[in-house]
Amino acid sequence: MKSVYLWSIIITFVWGCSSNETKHLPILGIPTVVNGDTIHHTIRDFTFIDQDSTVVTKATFKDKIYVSDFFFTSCPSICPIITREMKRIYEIFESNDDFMLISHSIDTRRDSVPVLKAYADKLNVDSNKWKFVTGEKSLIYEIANDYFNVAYEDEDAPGGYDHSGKLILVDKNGHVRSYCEGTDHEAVTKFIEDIKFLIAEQASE
Amino acid sequence: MDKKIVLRYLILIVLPILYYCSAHPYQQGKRLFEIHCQRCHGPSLEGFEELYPPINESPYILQHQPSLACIIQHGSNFLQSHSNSEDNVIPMPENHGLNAVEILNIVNYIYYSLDIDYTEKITTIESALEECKNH
Repeated sequence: MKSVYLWSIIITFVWGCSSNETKHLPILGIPTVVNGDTIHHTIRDFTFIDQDSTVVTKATFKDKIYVSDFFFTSCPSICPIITREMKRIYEIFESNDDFMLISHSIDTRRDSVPVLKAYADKLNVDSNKWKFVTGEKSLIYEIANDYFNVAYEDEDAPGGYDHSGKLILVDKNGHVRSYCEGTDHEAVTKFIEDIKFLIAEQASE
Repeated sequence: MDKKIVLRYLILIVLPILYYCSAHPYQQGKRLFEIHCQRCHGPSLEGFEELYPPINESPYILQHQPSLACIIQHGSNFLQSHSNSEDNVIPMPENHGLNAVEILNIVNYIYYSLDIDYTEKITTIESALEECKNH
């Protein structure tokens, strides 16, 4: 009788661990209810300028999955680490036409189009795939909140700006589906798995 | 207590300390390097793309130039006035919070970690920093 108990425990454990856990990336953010309909958190419309002086809007990311972050070129603190991780993501999905990256500069004073251009060139990235954008300061700081990031000027912060370093994964409908700390190498590795999952999910839709 | 046992314990304590000390002569330099240099120039000083230059190929290091201390202290402000490069897109920041001894430790850690058999002296660093005070 004892061995039956033992076996049942073992079987339960093995079964429990090997059961097919279907992965799902939830739509993140606080939904609003309008006339009984649930409206999920969506990235607002935007108009920015990229490193090639071309206008970047939500339409640029139509039918694309993309990763978004906030930075500035002369940032001495967390940005060099985050840029390394963003480049790692870029290299993995370089040949995937459904995938893009966007980096918003929060230093709209210094990071002019030519500065962003030089930065992108030195990073050896394709401007069709990875947009480095500038724009009206208040709009960039506002949209940071849509991407679960905060950005503000702070004289005491290294480089004069303080900001969070979250990488945000946005799906084809403008919904946030995953995020990670861009300074955490292991977290970014998991985040990359989420990107792969979302690409597969949206390709089959 | 038995002398032998005391001796044994002593060895157990002393040996790891000796090992720890000999393993890394530039502990402070390493720590300061990690705080002030590594994020851009990388843990192996290899740089990153064309954004952050590799330190391991720098002429300042290969030629053992004391003005390496000035680069650490004044960043691009020093480099701009001492090289022909116009390129200042991503400026190297200043590190005015570091004193001569701390800079010496960083410099010597860099040489040590690159396996370069050279150590800088505090007097050399101090006079280099004095000379480039105003870049």
